[in-house]
Amino acid sequence: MMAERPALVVRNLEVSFLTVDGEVQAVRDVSFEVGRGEIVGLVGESGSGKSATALAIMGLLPVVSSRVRGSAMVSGVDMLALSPRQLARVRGRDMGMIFQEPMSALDPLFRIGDQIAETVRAHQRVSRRAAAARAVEILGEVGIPDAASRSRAYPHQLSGGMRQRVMIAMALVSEPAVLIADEPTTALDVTVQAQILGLLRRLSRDHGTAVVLITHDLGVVAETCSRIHVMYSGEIVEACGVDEALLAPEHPYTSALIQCIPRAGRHRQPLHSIPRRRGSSPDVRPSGCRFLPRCAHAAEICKAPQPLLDLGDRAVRCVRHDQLALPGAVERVPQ
Amino acid sequence: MTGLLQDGAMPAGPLLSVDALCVQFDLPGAKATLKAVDGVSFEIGRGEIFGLIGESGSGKSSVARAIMRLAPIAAGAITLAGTRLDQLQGRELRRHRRRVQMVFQDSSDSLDPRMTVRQAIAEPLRMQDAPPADAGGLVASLIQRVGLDESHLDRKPHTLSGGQKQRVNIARALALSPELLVCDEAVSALDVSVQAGIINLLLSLQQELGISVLFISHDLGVVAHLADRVGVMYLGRLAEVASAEALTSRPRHPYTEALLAAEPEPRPSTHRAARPPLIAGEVPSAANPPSGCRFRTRCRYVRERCAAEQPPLRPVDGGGLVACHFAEELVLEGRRA
Repeated sequence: MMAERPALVVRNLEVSFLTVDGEVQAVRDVSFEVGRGEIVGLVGESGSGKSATALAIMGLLPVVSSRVRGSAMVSGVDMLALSPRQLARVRGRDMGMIFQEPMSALDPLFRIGDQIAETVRAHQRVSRRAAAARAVEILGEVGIPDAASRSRAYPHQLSGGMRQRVMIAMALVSEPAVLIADEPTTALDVTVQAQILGLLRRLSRDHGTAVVLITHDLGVVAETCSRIHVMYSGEIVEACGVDEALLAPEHPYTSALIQCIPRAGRHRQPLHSIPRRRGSSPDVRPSGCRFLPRCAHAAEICKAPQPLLDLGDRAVRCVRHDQLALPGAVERVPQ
Repeated sequence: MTGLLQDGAMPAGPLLSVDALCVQFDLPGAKATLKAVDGVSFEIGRGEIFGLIGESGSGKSSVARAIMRLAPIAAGAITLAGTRLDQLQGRELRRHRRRVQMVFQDSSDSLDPRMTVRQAIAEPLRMQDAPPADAGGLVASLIQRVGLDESHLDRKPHTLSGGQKQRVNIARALALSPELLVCDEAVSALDVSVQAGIINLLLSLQQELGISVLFISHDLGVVAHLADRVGVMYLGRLAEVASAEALTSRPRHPYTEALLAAEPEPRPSTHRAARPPLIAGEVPSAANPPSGCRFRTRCRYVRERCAAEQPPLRPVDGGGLVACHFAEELVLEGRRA
């Protein structure tokens, strides 16, 4: 299993932003890896640091107002140690990214085929004609019907789902080892979302692309990923297989997040919510467990700093994890 | 006029009745019109939560805006407890507006950043012809009713979280004791942990105040959890109306089946139906909708009759309404229990 080196290895990633109020830490002690052909989910609510993690790995955070530490190895090269110039060369070739809003990544003034061909020529020494042919080919592969004539369309002439397919085509045209997808289906209708997630699964499997899928939606993770990393307040609080997390979560936040989602058979019953306790603010972080002010299982011991505990096939940032039998996504049959 | 007759009388029948509603927009430039809503009929009972679900372009928000008299009504009737809302003008319209209040998706845009929470909630009271004597007491009870406390009253919106702001918007909507609350994607922008709290609040408002709610969302899971009955819209028309439980366990329209299949299930693989997406493609343009059944271009059960004939919304066994010629023959799959 471990003979092959993972496509992406992130170690001890720290991100902080410089604000008028001083340095604010957005990501702390984040480490994970993604193997070839694997899709790993990074899940969290707003402010969890999941997008800052993605932008840091891609080298897309503003140099002046942010500080990034740690390493992110892609094909043996540390992305975080590269100069902006070196980074521009690998970005797109070794590492692709897709965003929630495709219009932000597409230039409204150029035909989509030309934009993809430009990406091809930025990384490969091929003729214009070959690049254009490659663009049509990849557009067909991401499910754009009649790709040859659609490649001459401008972004505004396409629907949201088609634009998202174009962005995926552009990110994958150079067959990068790693694809980072930040909420790629959040703005899409649910029937289109199902198609795009299916496309990501197929492309990852066929090309061996390692995918980091960033989302707030546990349903999307369940349908797409093999492993999950749950983030809260800038830290990974639980990392394990998706089925294991949904069946038997060991961190109270993972469990609470699952319980918040309406589920079949519980029509009109009150949902679990995670109230923000009075006096707790996302800006003021407790020195111990960061989830403590909102945790239903908090105890005195939780006020001490919480390391990410390595349990072999799972990692949990909760000192009480083995004392709690937390509910998951399905009722557990008592043995 | 009919509204006067209702005053003091014991109400009977549905609270809101929407009958053959059409909402039409003129497309700028092209000499064409876009029928955002094309012949939609449904009723909302007293104390009922009615869910309206659909993808983008389905016309669900236009229905809400027509009820609020914020969208041009081309044809049809909207009746609130005997009052034809669609025919009201000027002073009369203003007098009846208080009876239906709306909560929007963006909790920040709906609040004036310069007003305190107290001012925001009191504003609708102040705008009335006869403001209540104890407005201050009413504001205090409203803020508690939505799960905040009086310490929040002197704060400005920017110091509140998204969920707290949405609670303020609900308090404000409740200030004039409306009969109907219209929520258009009111929880869609919130984190799930916060969304759950707002859903619980709406359920308790229904139970304790007996208020009726039109709850519009693209999220079938949320709508099916909260609503008594659900209407499924596709390209300006209703495809199906049924109780939330019947709709999810036994859908009768192919589009409802496809929506259920596309819904990502947050459950382990052993407890999840591994179904391929049932529909390809995207919603066609409302400016140029397909003939006959509007879903036919994406329907996997499509037959010749679907292009020729528009299926009416009609009752089927089980108590629901469905707009499909072949509802009796099709065996459709619902959610896994």
